[in-house]
Order: sequence, then C-alpha cells, then structure tokens
Amino acid sequence: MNSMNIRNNHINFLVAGLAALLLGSSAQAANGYSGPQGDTWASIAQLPDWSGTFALDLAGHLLSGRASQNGSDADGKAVALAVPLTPRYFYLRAHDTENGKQPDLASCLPAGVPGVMLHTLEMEFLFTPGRVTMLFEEGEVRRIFTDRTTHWSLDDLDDSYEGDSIGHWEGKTLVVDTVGFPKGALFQNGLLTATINTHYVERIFLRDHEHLEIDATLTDPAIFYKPYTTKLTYERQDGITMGEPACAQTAREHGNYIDLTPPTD
Amino acid sequence: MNTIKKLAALGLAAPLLATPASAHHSLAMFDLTHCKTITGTVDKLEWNYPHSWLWIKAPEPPSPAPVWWGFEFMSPSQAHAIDPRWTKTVVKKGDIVTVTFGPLRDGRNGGAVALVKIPDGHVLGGTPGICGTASRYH
Repeated sequence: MNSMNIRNNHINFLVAGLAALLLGSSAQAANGYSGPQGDTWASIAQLPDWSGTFALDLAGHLLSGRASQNGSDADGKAVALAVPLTPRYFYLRAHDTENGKQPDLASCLPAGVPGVMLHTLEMEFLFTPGRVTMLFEEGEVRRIFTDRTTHWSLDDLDDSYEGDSIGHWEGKTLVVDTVGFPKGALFQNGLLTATINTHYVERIFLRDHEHLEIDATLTDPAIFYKPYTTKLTYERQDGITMGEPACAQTAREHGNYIDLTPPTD
Repeated sequence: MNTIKKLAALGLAAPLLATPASAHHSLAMFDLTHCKTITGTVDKLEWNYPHSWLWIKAPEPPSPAPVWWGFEFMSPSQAHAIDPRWTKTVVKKGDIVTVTFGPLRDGRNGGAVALVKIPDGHVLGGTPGICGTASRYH
C-alpha cells in the first residue's frame, strides 16, 4: 500500500466518523461504523460466535488451486505457484527454493503476516472492547484494533512481523486492514517476505458454524503484478487443546540441519 | 470429517498433497519419494510443538546392538486433528512399531513419518502427502 492509498483510507474512515457524528445515530460506535462494533461488552454479545479453535483446511486450499506452499516439489525443485509474482520475485523465490533456504520460522522466529494465516496449526479469537485478538499455537499474536481508524506510522513498523491491523464489523464480517509487516512471510513456509509497502485486507466471516472463511487480498507493486486474492477456509476444531509455543526449547530443526541426538529419560 | 480425511477416503489426497506441508519448515532435507520401512522398539515419543518425534531402536546387522532412529512428524494438535488416535500415550516404551518414512537426504538414521503401525494393528498417518500416502486412515 503506498502512502497515497493509506491517506485515502484515513480519509474514508474520517468521513465515516464525521457522518456518524452528523447523523447523531446512537447505533454508531466510536469507529464511525454502524451496527455492533465490539466497543463494549454489550456490543460484543451481539457479534458472531467465533469461540473454539480453528485450523486451516489445507487440502481444500490445495484443491482450490490457490495453494501457497513453499514452492517446491518432492525433490526440492521450485514449482509454479498460482500467485501473480513479478519477474523479480519469481526469480527470488525460485532461487531460494533451489538453494534450500529455510524460512525464519524454522529458526523459531515468527512467520508474521500473512504467513501465520497459512499454517495448519490452531488459532483462536478473543473479543474484548475495542480489540479482536488472534492467538496462534506457535505463540504469535495479531492485535486488531477496532477502536481506531488510522494506522500507526510505517516509520514505526520497519522491523515488524505482524504490522498494524485496524478493523471494523460489517454485519457479521470483520474487515481487517493491515500495513507495515516487512518481516512477514508471504506464504506458508515462505521464503519471500513482504515489504514495508505490502498491504493486506481480510474479510473474515463464518460460512457456517464449522467453517470460518477469509477472503484476503495482498497488494504490493514490487511483489505482485496485480492484487493477489485468495480464499482461506478454516475448520472449527473439537476436542483439541492448543499446544504451548516451546519451539526454542524443543525444535530439533535448525535451518536445514536436524539434531538427531537421542532423547534422554 | 474434515476435508483432508474426505479426500483421503476418495484416494485423492496423494496427488493433491504432492507438495507436503510442514507448518514449521520446508521438507527439503527429506527424500519424500524413495520411502523406507523399518521395524523397531519404541524408546520415546517426544510430543512437542513444532514437531513431535518418535524414537525407536532397530536392529542393524552386523551391529550387535540395535541402533537409534528418529522420526519427525506433526505437532500434537495437527496429529490429533488428522487422526484422533494420535495422543501422547498412543505408544509406550517397549512397543514394537513399523514406521514408513521419507529418509533424511544426508543418510543419517532419521526421516519424516508417513505411516506408523502400532501394536494393536492400527496404522497412524504422519505428515500429509509424504510418500504419497493416500490411505492414512485405517
């Protein structure tokens, strides 16, 4: 997202807020949007039930042809992705894949946005006034602020994995706008990372009680020659407890090396 | 039944999952097309995020003593989601198991789990797609 788009976004939010003030509607929350916005506990009670944990439906993702894999086949060779990469980023991905580069995650660093959304691990949502928080089994946290309508300065996000997310509710759909995640992995096991100008928009909603969907759009003219849109489906999980993020203590994988020291009792 | 299981039941999972996924790292260090099978005695199941590890000792003549083998598979929640029989106690020390795996490319005694046959005869699935495993649910 370039600075002009960010500015336009801000203007849109400000216009919405101003319209709310002029109309004087008591149904409008501080963020300027009508309908329940999760700004109070009473408002949260009117939001959809996203309780429990969810995990990415990876097989469905592959079936749809929108797979965001690490871009390699069983022999470690780069394969084509259904992603509109610019020539430079297509080359970078192929080069890193052919050379066996591992993502930051393999060193127990965060995946960041949007890569963390492409894991098959568990995630859960917490609704509190003015905030939707996404907790991931690997220990990452995404904080989506629904009580403000302007983004933090990109100057403050130049080392960020998760970026700055602001959101609002359109009925039962949470619309999330994220900027400033230059360390975020672009894909599952992603070898490519975002830039400071990458923009991520998600529309998150329950398709039915068992399935959460995210219609997502990534834009960045340096990386994509056109907006990359994808639909991610997550299944509500029953009877599964989220694990503890003990990667640094337990991972035997360090880059491309695996520690095969036998366990001790 | 989740989508992975539905596809597996239809025998579709293998081609669709020809590029296996790990949530934590790429699987480039494993040879996923020349799979092996080994039978040994369980020493320990490390039931951990980001990956669980199954450790066995297996005979390897002419070595007089069995040797260690270590096998990586999924996190506890992933394993349980794919097959609820995967638990921290599904195997115990001394159990005889048979593991089908994609071996480490560097030749050391380890690999990525495709299937594990446990003492009661059930076969548990490992990371989806390894070794073209379509029928991971028995």
